[in-house]
Amino acid sequence: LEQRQVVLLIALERMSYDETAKTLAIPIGTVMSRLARARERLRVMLADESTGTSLKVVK
Amino acid sequence: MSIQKISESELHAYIDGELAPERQREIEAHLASSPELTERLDAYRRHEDALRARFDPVVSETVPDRLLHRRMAAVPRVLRYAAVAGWLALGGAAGWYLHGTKAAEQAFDAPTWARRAAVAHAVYSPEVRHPVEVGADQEAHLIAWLSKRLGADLRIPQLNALGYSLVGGRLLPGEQAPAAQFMYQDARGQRLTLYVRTNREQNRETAFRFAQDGSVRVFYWIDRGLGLALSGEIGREELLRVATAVYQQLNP
Repeated sequence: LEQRQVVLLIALERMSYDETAKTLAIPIGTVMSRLARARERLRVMLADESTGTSLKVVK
Repeated sequence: MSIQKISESELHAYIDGELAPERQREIEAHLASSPELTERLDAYRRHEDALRARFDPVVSETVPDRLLHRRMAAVPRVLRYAAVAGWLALGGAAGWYLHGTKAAEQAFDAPTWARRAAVAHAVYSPEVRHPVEVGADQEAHLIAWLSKRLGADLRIPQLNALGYSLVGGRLLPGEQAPAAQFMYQDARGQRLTLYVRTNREQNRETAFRFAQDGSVRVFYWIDRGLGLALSGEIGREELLRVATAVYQQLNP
Protein backbone atom coordinates (compact mmCIF):
# COMPACT_ATOMS: atom_id res chain seq x y z
CA LEU A 1 0.00 0.00 0.00
CA GLU A 2 1.25 3.46 -0.85
CA GLN A 3 0.24 4.83 2.51
CA ARG A 4 2.38 2.25 4.22
CA GLN A 5 5.52 3.29 2.37
CA VAL A 6 5.09 6.82 3.55
CA VAL A 7 4.59 5.84 7.16
CA LEU A 8 7.57 3.55 7.06
CA LEU A 9 9.90 6.10 5.57
CA ILE A 10 8.83 8.78 7.99
CA ALA A 11 8.36 6.74 11.14
CA LEU A 12 11.16 4.25 10.79
CA GLU A 13 13.68 5.79 8.45
CA ARG A 14 12.97 9.16 10.03
CA MET A 15 13.07 10.90 6.71
CA SER A 16 11.70 14.38 6.39
CA TYR A 17 8.66 15.02 4.17
CA ASP A 18 10.98 16.43 1.59
CA GLU A 19 13.25 13.38 1.50
CA THR A 20 10.28 11.06 1.40
CA ALA A 21 8.80 12.91 -1.54
CA LYS A 22 12.09 12.67 -3.42
CA THR A 23 12.58 9.02 -2.58
CA LEU A 24 9.17 8.03 -3.81
CA ALA A 25 9.17 10.62 -6.59
CA ILE A 26 5.81 12.06 -5.56
CA PRO A 27 4.82 15.63 -4.66
CA ILE A 28 5.19 16.64 -1.03
CA GLY A 29 1.44 17.28 -0.82
CA THR A 30 0.85 13.65 -1.69
CA VAL A 31 3.25 12.59 1.03
CA MET A 32 1.30 14.63 3.53
CA SER A 33 -2.12 13.40 2.51
CA ARG A 34 -1.02 9.78 2.41
CA LEU A 35 0.55 10.13 5.82
CA ALA A 36 -2.62 11.67 7.22
CA ARG A 37 -4.79 8.91 5.81
CA ALA A 38 -2.42 6.17 6.93
CA ARG A 39 -2.17 7.39 10.48
CA GLU A 40 -5.89 7.88 10.77
CA ARG A 41 -6.50 4.40 9.45
CA LEU A 42 -4.04 2.90 11.86
CA ARG A 43 -5.69 4.76 14.70
CA VAL A 44 -9.12 3.49 13.73
CA MET A 45 -7.82 -0.05 13.32
CA LEU A 46 -6.15 -0.05 16.69
CA ALA A 47 -9.09 1.63 18.37
CA ASP A 48 -11.38 -1.10 17.09
CA GLU A 49 -9.10 -3.71 18.42
CA SER A 50 -8.51 -2.29 21.84
CA THR A 51 -12.12 -1.71 22.78
CA GLY A 52 -12.85 -4.53 25.16
CA THR A 53 -9.32 -5.87 25.32
CA SER A 54 -7.88 -3.06 27.39
CA LEU A 55 -5.23 -1.45 25.23
CA LYS A 56 -2.79 -4.30 24.94
CA VAL A 57 -1.48 -3.02 21.63
CA VAL A 58 0.06 0.10 22.98
CA LYS A 59 3.50 -0.34 24.39
CA MET B 1 -9.04 33.23 18.66
CA SER B 2 -8.98 33.82 14.98
CA ILE B 3 -7.16 30.96 13.43
CA GLN B 4 -7.06 29.75 9.91
CA LYS B 5 -8.71 26.38 9.59
CA ILE B 6 -6.30 23.54 10.26
CA SER B 7 -6.18 20.78 7.68
CA GLU B 8 -5.64 17.12 8.46
CA SER B 9 -2.28 17.22 6.74
CA GLU B 10 -1.21 20.15 8.82
CA LEU B 11 -1.95 18.26 11.99
CA HIS B 12 0.47 15.55 10.94
CA ALA B 13 3.03 18.04 9.82
CA TYR B 14 2.65 19.55 13.28
CA ILE B 15 3.42 16.20 14.90
CA ASP B 16 6.49 15.82 12.74
CA GLY B 17 7.62 19.39 13.31
CA GLU B 18 7.51 20.15 9.61
CA LEU B 19 5.57 23.40 9.81
CA ALA B 20 6.84 26.92 9.86
CA PRO B 21 7.47 27.97 13.48
CA GLU B 22 4.63 30.48 13.65
CA ARG B 23 2.08 28.00 12.30
CA GLN B 24 3.43 25.40 14.70
CA ARG B 25 2.72 27.83 17.56
CA GLU B 26 -0.77 28.63 16.26
CA ILE B 27 -1.71 24.99 16.20
CA GLU B 28 -0.25 24.42 19.61
CA ALA B 29 -2.41 27.21 20.95
CA HIS B 30 -5.45 25.73 19.27
CA LEU B 31 -4.77 22.30 20.75
CA ALA B 32 -4.74 23.75 24.23
CA SER B 33 -8.42 24.49 23.79
CA SER B 34 -9.32 21.19 22.18
CA PRO B 35 -8.78 18.12 24.36
CA GLU B 36 -10.39 15.91 21.74
CA LEU B 37 -7.89 16.84 19.08
CA THR B 38 -5.05 16.57 21.54
CA GLU B 39 -6.12 13.04 22.37
CA ARG B 40 -6.22 12.12 18.70
CA LEU B 41 -2.73 13.45 18.06
CA ASP B 42 -1.48 11.59 21.11
CA ALA B 43 -2.91 8.41 19.66
CA TYR B 44 -1.00 8.99 16.41
CA ARG B 45 2.18 9.49 18.36
CA ARG B 46 1.63 6.40 20.48
CA HIS B 47 1.05 4.22 17.46
CA GLU B 48 4.11 5.53 15.80
CA ASP B 49 6.17 4.86 18.91
CA ALA B 50 4.82 1.33 19.02
CA LEU B 51 5.76 0.89 15.38
CA ARG B 52 9.25 2.10 16.05
CA ALA B 53 9.65 0.00 19.16
CA ARG B 54 8.79 -3.02 17.09
CA PHE B 55 10.81 -2.38 13.97
CA ASP B 56 13.76 -0.27 14.99
CA PRO B 57 15.82 -3.31 15.92
CA VAL B 58 15.36 -4.56 12.37
CA VAL B 59 16.08 -1.24 10.73
CA SER B 60 19.30 -0.77 12.65
CA GLU B 61 20.60 -4.26 12.04
CA THR B 62 23.85 -4.15 10.22
CA VAL B 63 23.66 -5.40 6.69
CA PRO B 64 25.57 -8.67 6.33
CA ASP B 65 28.82 -8.30 4.41
CA ARG B 66 27.86 -10.79 1.78
CA LEU B 67 24.93 -8.59 0.77
CA LEU B 68 27.01 -5.45 0.63
CA HIS B 69 29.49 -6.96 -1.73
CA ARG B 70 26.96 -7.73 -4.38
CA ARG B 71 27.57 -4.83 -6.72
CA MET B 72 25.64 -2.57 -4.39
CA ALA B 73 27.85 0.26 -5.49
CA ALA B 74 26.46 0.08 -8.99
CA VAL B 75 22.86 0.59 -7.87
CA PRO B 76 21.74 4.22 -7.95
CA ARG B 77 20.94 5.70 -4.59
CA VAL B 78 17.31 6.36 -5.35
CA LEU B 79 16.76 2.76 -6.33
CA ARG B 80 18.37 1.67 -3.14
CA TYR B 81 15.94 3.78 -1.16
CA ALA B 82 13.17 2.29 -3.20
CA ALA B 83 14.45 -1.16 -2.33
CA VAL B 84 14.55 -0.24 1.32
CA ALA B 85 11.02 1.06 1.06
CA GLY B 86 9.94 -2.12 -0.63
CA TRP B 87 11.43 -4.34 2.01
CA LEU B 88 10.05 -2.19 4.75
CA ALA B 89 6.65 -2.37 3.15
CA LEU B 90 6.93 -6.14 3.20
CA GLY B 91 8.12 -6.10 6.78
CA GLY B 92 5.34 -3.72 7.61
CA ALA B 93 2.81 -5.96 5.98
CA ALA B 94 4.09 -8.88 7.99
CA GLY B 95 4.16 -6.78 11.12
CA TRP B 96 0.66 -5.54 10.65
CA TYR B 97 -0.48 -9.04 10.10
CA LEU B 98 1.32 -10.25 13.18
CA HIS B 99 0.73 -7.40 15.53
CA GLY B 100 -2.08 -9.22 17.26
CA THR B 101 0.09 -12.20 18.03
CA LYS B 102 1.54 -10.98 21.32
CA ALA B 103 5.26 -10.96 21.92
CA ALA B 104 7.57 -10.99 18.95
CA GLU B 105 8.84 -14.47 18.48
CA GLN B 106 12.36 -15.29 19.38
CA ALA B 107 14.54 -14.79 16.37
CA PHE B 108 15.71 -18.01 14.78
CA ASP B 109 18.82 -16.83 13.09
CA ALA B 110 19.30 -19.22 10.21
CA PRO B 111 18.53 -19.51 6.52
CA THR B 112 15.04 -20.54 5.49
CA TRP B 113 15.97 -24.08 4.65
CA ALA B 114 17.47 -24.69 8.08
CA ARG B 115 14.32 -23.26 9.61
CA ARG B 116 12.28 -25.67 7.51
CA ALA B 117 14.40 -28.46 8.90
CA ALA B 118 13.66 -27.37 12.46
CA VAL B 119 9.96 -27.11 11.73
CA ALA B 120 9.91 -30.53 10.08
CA HIS B 121 11.64 -31.94 13.13
CA ALA B 122 9.07 -30.37 15.42
CA VAL B 123 6.23 -31.71 13.29
CA TYR B 124 7.31 -35.29 12.72
CA SER B 125 9.52 -36.32 15.62
CA PRO B 126 6.63 -36.55 18.13
CA GLU B 127 4.64 -38.81 15.77
CA VAL B 128 3.88 -42.17 17.32
CA ARG B 129 2.17 -44.03 14.51
CA HIS B 130 3.52 -42.36 11.37
CA PRO B 131 6.89 -40.84 12.10
CA VAL B 132 8.22 -41.83 8.67
CA GLU B 133 6.84 -42.73 5.29
CA VAL B 134 9.28 -45.53 4.61
CA GLY B 135 10.73 -47.47 7.51
CA ALA B 136 14.29 -48.59 8.11
CA ASP B 137 13.28 -52.14 7.17
CA GLN B 138 13.11 -50.95 3.56
CA GLU B 139 16.28 -48.95 3.64
CA ALA B 140 17.33 -49.81 0.09
CA HIS B 141 14.00 -48.66 -1.26
CA LEU B 142 14.08 -45.53 0.92
CA ILE B 143 17.44 -44.42 -0.37
CA ALA B 144 16.64 -45.17 -3.99
CA TRP B 145 13.32 -43.37 -3.81
CA LEU B 146 14.60 -40.22 -2.10
CA SER B 147 17.71 -40.07 -4.30
CA LYS B 148 15.46 -40.13 -7.31
CA ARG B 149 13.13 -37.47 -6.02
CA LEU B 150 15.91 -35.13 -4.93
CA GLY B 151 17.97 -35.83 -8.01
CA ALA B 152 21.07 -36.49 -5.95
CA ASP B 153 22.96 -39.52 -4.77
CA LEU B 154 21.96 -39.72 -1.14
CA ARG B 155 23.55 -41.84 1.50
CA ILE B 156 22.11 -42.60 4.88
CA PRO B 157 24.62 -42.20 7.70
CA GLN B 158 24.66 -45.07 10.19
CA LEU B 159 24.61 -43.74 13.71
CA ASN B 160 24.26 -46.98 15.63
CA ALA B 161 27.70 -46.52 17.13
CA LEU B 162 26.40 -43.37 18.78
CA GLY B 163 23.29 -45.09 20.01
CA TYR B 164 20.91 -43.83 17.34
CA SER B 165 19.27 -46.27 15.00
CA LEU B 166 17.47 -45.36 11.79
CA VAL B 167 13.69 -45.15 12.01
CA GLY B 168 13.15 -44.31 8.36
CA GLY B 169 12.61 -41.29 6.17
CA ARG B 170 10.16 -39.17 4.30
CA LEU B 171 9.89 -36.76 1.43
CA LEU B 172 9.23 -33.11 2.27
CA PRO B 173 8.51 -30.00 0.25
CA GLY B 174 11.53 -27.71 0.08
CA GLU B 175 11.80 -24.16 -1.21
CA GLN B 176 12.16 -25.05 -4.88
CA ALA B 177 12.68 -28.77 -4.89
CA PRO B 178 11.81 -31.73 -2.70
CA ALA B 179 13.81 -32.34 0.43
CA ALA B 180 14.30 -35.48 2.50
CA GLN B 181 14.14 -36.18 6.19
CA PHE B 182 15.75 -39.15 7.90
CA MET B 183 14.78 -39.96 11.43
CA TYR B 184 16.83 -41.69 14.09
CA GLN B 185 16.08 -42.61 17.66
CA ASP B 186 17.99 -43.89 20.65
CA ALA B 187 16.98 -46.52 23.17
CA ARG B 188 15.00 -44.02 25.20
CA GLY B 189 13.03 -42.91 22.18
CA GLN B 190 14.87 -39.60 21.86
CA ARG B 191 14.70 -38.66 18.19
CA LEU B 192 17.00 -36.84 15.82
CA THR B 193 16.20 -35.86 12.27
CA LEU B 194 18.58 -35.24 9.43
CA TYR B 195 17.18 -32.94 6.78
CA VAL B 196 18.75 -33.04 3.35
CA ARG B 197 18.13 -30.74 0.44
CA THR B 198 19.90 -30.16 -2.82
CA ASN B 199 21.81 -26.97 -2.99
CA ARG B 200 22.85 -26.60 -6.60
CA GLU B 201 23.63 -22.93 -6.62
CA GLN B 202 26.29 -23.28 -3.95
CA ASN B 203 28.70 -26.05 -4.68
CA ARG B 204 30.89 -25.45 -1.70
CA GLU B 205 31.33 -26.44 1.89
CA THR B 206 30.56 -24.51 5.00
CA ALA B 207 31.40 -25.07 8.62
CA PHE B 208 28.76 -26.29 11.04
CA ARG B 209 26.40 -23.55 12.02
CA PHE B 210 24.13 -23.67 15.00
CA ALA B 211 20.63 -22.37 15.57
CA GLN B 212 18.00 -22.96 18.17
CA ASP B 213 14.26 -22.60 18.15
CA GLY B 214 12.72 -23.26 21.52
CA SER B 215 14.00 -26.66 22.58
CA VAL B 216 14.92 -27.74 19.05
CA ARG B 217 18.62 -27.34 18.33
CA VAL B 218 19.95 -27.51 14.81
CA PHE B 219 23.39 -27.88 13.32
CA TYR B 220 23.38 -27.17 9.62
CA TRP B 221 26.00 -27.11 6.93
CA ILE B 222 26.51 -27.32 3.21
CA ASP B 223 28.49 -30.12 1.74
CA ARG B 224 29.09 -30.33 -2.01
CA GLY B 225 25.70 -29.50 -3.37
CA LEU B 226 23.74 -30.75 -0.40
CA GLY B 227 22.40 -28.75 2.49
CA LEU B 228 22.22 -30.83 5.65
CA ALA B 229 20.58 -29.98 8.94
CA LEU B 230 20.61 -32.19 12.00
CA SER B 231 17.88 -31.33 14.49
CA GLY B 232 17.19 -32.68 17.92
CA GLU B 233 16.07 -31.82 21.39
CA ILE B 234 19.30 -32.92 22.97
CA GLY B 235 22.28 -31.02 24.35
CA ARG B 236 24.37 -28.98 22.00
CA GLU B 237 27.53 -31.02 22.59
CA GLU B 238 25.85 -34.30 21.90
CA LEU B 239 24.17 -32.94 18.80
CA LEU B 240 27.52 -31.70 17.57
CA ARG B 241 29.03 -35.12 18.18
CA VAL B 242 26.35 -36.69 15.99
CA ALA B 243 26.66 -33.99 13.33
CA THR B 244 30.39 -34.61 13.16
CA ALA B 245 29.78 -38.33 12.71
CA VAL B 246 27.29 -37.62 9.92
CA TYR B 247 29.78 -35.38 8.19
CA GLN B 248 32.57 -37.93 8.47
CA GLN B 249 30.44 -40.72 7.11
CA LEU B 250 29.43 -38.66 4.10
CA ASN B 251 33.05 -37.67 3.50
CA PRO B 252 35.00 -40.89 4.06
